[in-house]
Amino acid sequence: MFSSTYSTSFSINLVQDFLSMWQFNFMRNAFIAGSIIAVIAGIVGYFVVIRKLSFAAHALSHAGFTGAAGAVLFGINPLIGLLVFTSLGGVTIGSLGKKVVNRDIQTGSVLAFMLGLGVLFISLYKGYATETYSILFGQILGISSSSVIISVVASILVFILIVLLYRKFLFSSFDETVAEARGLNIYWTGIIFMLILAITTSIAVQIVGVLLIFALLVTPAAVAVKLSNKPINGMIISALISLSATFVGLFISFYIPYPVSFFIISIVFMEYIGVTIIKALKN
Amino acid sequence: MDKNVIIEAQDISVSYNQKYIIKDGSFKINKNTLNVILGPNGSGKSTLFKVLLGLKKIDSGIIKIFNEEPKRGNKLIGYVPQSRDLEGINLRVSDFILLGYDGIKFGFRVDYKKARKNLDRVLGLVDGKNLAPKSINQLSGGELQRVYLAQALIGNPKLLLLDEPLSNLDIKRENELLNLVSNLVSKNDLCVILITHDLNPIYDIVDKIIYIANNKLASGTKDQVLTNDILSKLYDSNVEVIKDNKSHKLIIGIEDSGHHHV
Repeated sequence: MFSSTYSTSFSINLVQDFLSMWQFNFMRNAFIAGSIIAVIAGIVGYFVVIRKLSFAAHALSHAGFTGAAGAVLFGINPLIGLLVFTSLGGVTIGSLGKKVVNRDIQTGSVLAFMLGLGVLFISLYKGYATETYSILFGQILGISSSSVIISVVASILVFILIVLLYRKFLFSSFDETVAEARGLNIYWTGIIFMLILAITTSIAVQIVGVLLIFALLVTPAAVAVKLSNKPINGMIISALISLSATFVGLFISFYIPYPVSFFIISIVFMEYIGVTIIKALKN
Repeated sequence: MDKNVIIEAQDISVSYNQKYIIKDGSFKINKNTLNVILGPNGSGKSTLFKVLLGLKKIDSGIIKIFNEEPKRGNKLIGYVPQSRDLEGINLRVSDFILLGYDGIKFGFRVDYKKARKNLDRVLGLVDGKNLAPKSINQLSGGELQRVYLAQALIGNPKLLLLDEPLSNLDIKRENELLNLVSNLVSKNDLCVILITHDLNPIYDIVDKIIYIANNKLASGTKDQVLTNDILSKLYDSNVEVIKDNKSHKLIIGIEDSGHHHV
């Protein structure tokens, strides 16, 4: 429990407030996992936006719902279910090519079926409804220590892959035809990126849930792309937006009993609207 | 193979969706020349580029490019595709061009100085030094074509493949680009093959024409190819080439003849 020097009520001294939260194991877990995941989601989100794959991110998170619900039903860590289902979905979409992602009717039909399956798993589950709620809307405050470890390892893996394939991802995102002519293997680059997206989606679902995945994976990067024409800066801005939103969201939710994901999406959305308006006024 | 010949195709057949695009076509391309591929829409002009780039296999025949079979990632070839999906893309021109330089490599760029030197060189070649800090989505059609050209040139190619570079350009920009291209050919030991559906703007400077129609291919100088005989054979119908008093030619009898006024 927390020490008597710290209180759980809000004071003007933000450092003091933060230290108060840090006393709690669940807050420490939330801050550590939330920060790392937000940074990775922001970076990967940059590629999601420039590769025009936001629908794929949406689709993968829904596939993840079924995986998580199935895992809960069988008493496994839902993060494992998320990772397995999103990875399978990611590799499938990646191997079928970019065009498939844009076939919204087919993808939508498969998605609906996946969600239906998820609903069945949920109804078969005799446990608490909070599990379902946290898959759909995120519940970073309840993240377990094992999920923190999995998230950190997954984030490191994604980061290494992004650094290693940075130029290849940029080239194939911006200029696929020429990249292919220059000898880049578009097929495998696409599949590896979808796998990265699957892993990132899975860990990000823990914070914002499958329904609000755009909050970390698309909107921050959409703001960043508007603000900078340099890829590195774009990635840094995107990571900072999702990190700050997650941080502030966690901070506020400690005092106000509303979902963290609501605060995160609200902060990110305000920034999006703000930047869009400023850009429009400048032009 | 003759030292001057950089591409030699003998009786090549190429198909797309099990339909022949080229059947038993032969042609040669010499170094330091400006060549044009002409033909109606869907005749397989871009597919021929894909063959040269090693992205499409031929069904039969022999094709050698720089004395080798076509292969993907051939550094001796620079390529500007017909269309790119750059809508809404906020990327610096310099970053875009540099992707053509080392975009297929692993990790981050290490030798930034060398890359920068190459960037400056190609921007100089296309007269585009002022474009480097701009965003790709701020450029006009003419500026974009120059940036594409710079990107294709950054690997120091010996052969440049330009797919419809003149479409979407007004006459002034067309002429500017063609001047640039013909300068590259004469001053930089470069061979250019350019796809166009309108020979008009390039007629005076072109060395060789490859004409593709109805899966047949004819090649030679403009006087050799643009004849009643050759074009009638290509189109399987009576085609007439009429010269006006300035020795401009007008081809009639082709469905979309409007595209082939020369």
